[in-house]
Amino acid sequence: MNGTRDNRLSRIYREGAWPEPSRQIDAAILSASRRAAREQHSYVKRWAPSFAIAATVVLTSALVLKVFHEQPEVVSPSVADKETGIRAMRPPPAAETRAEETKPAPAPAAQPASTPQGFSSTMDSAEAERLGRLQRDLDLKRSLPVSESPLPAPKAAPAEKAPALKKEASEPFQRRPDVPQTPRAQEQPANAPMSVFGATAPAQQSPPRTAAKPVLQLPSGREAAPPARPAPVQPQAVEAQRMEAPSPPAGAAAISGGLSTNALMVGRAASKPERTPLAWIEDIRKLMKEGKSEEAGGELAEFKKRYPDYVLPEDLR
Amino acid sequence: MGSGPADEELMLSYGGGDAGSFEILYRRHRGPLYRFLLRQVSDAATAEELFQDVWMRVIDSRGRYQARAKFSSWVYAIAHNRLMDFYRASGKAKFLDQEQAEEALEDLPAQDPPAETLIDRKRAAERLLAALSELPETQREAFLLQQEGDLSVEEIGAATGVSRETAKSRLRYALVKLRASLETPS
Repeated sequence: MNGTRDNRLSRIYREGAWPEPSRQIDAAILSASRRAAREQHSYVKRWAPSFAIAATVVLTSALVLKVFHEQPEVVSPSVADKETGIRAMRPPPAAETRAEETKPAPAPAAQPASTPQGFSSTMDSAEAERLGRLQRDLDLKRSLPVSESPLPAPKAAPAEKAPALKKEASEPFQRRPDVPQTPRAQEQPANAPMSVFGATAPAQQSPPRTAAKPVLQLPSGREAAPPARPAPVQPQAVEAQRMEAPSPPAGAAAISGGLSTNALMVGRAASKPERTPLAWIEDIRKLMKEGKSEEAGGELAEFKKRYPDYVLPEDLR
Repeated sequence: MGSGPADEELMLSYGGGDAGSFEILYRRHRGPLYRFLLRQVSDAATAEELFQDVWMRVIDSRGRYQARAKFSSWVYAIAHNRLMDFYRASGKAKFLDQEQAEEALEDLPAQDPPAETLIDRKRAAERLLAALSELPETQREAFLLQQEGDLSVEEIGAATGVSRETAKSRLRYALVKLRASLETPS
């Protein structure tokens, strides 16, 4: 025997009567448990395809959003390309274009490593949208000459052209209306590669992308603007918050240690808005006491429908 | 609770849709849980109602169950909450006022009675049960959680929503009174 357990008392207690629940109650509970397990299985089977479709849609949307958010970085090289595209819209003679291509280009100037990040840190979403619109317009204008051009897209920009490109890109954005009149426009191939989704574009497009950075910085005048990216949401944190949210009931408030989760569960179960069978039965009894037998009958019928296996007390059978 | 899979594993398995696991779990706990309720309400019909209700809640909670503590602690915590609801609904508010009465029992003897004073075991069991029914609800519940639920003092505290010290105190008072009942000549 220790302070909280008395073996002799325990032995005597166990020698007393050992009443057990009736078989009817056993059957009702086991039947309810089987039905619940079956329902769970059928529920999963029924909704699995829908969940799969929903997951696919969510995943796709997330990817699209991600690409959309990254678009400013991607748009920039395309804009630079389109500038060249506009210049190229003044159709140069094919022979001249070919001649330009064969010209040796000076060695590319070293690009700062940070430039490929492009405009994500210097441009807000409105600006990105404006540039997107511009790019679309340019795409439309450019589509015909590109499709008609017999020349394939160059695999890589000639090294000699890079400084020229950079220089051109560093010129003020406002100069674009005059661009077609500049002689340098003719240096650009008519079918310069253009891609909205530059993140997936081939590597050879990267030089124009890096060169285009100053073009977009100039009109905006927001070089120092911080990136307007939303803070990423941590799913684990959300889940943790969800799990911690409900407060335990008074009866379980003082539970500590490893049992607190159980107490929370009990509390959650206890605080469910749904009536328990017992509470329901009490309500039915109240109705009967108040003489509302019709209402009580209705409630009883509903109860039986909800809990078909529940063994009703004598007074309600 | 015997050999075989742990209660917690069985409950998790049931949560995953295995009805057989629940049956094993039910057969393990049906008797103790029923007696725990019956000894508290002293009425078989009410005990059956509560018993059924507790198991229905277990079934309903199958998807949310997490095995972070003993299954029995969890089930008896549910049973405790149902009992509290029952006491409130039936106007048995004295449940909450019993703590003061406990103080009067500080000086009762706690020693084992000598063997020659014990009557036959059956009679002793009957007297013990009678004394048990006379205990304040909190003390009776603590004793039954220990005897039927095989819960430790900490688990009793967790199941009834009180501190370990309070649970220990309740249990100690219950034991003192029950021992005294066996010593008193009928």
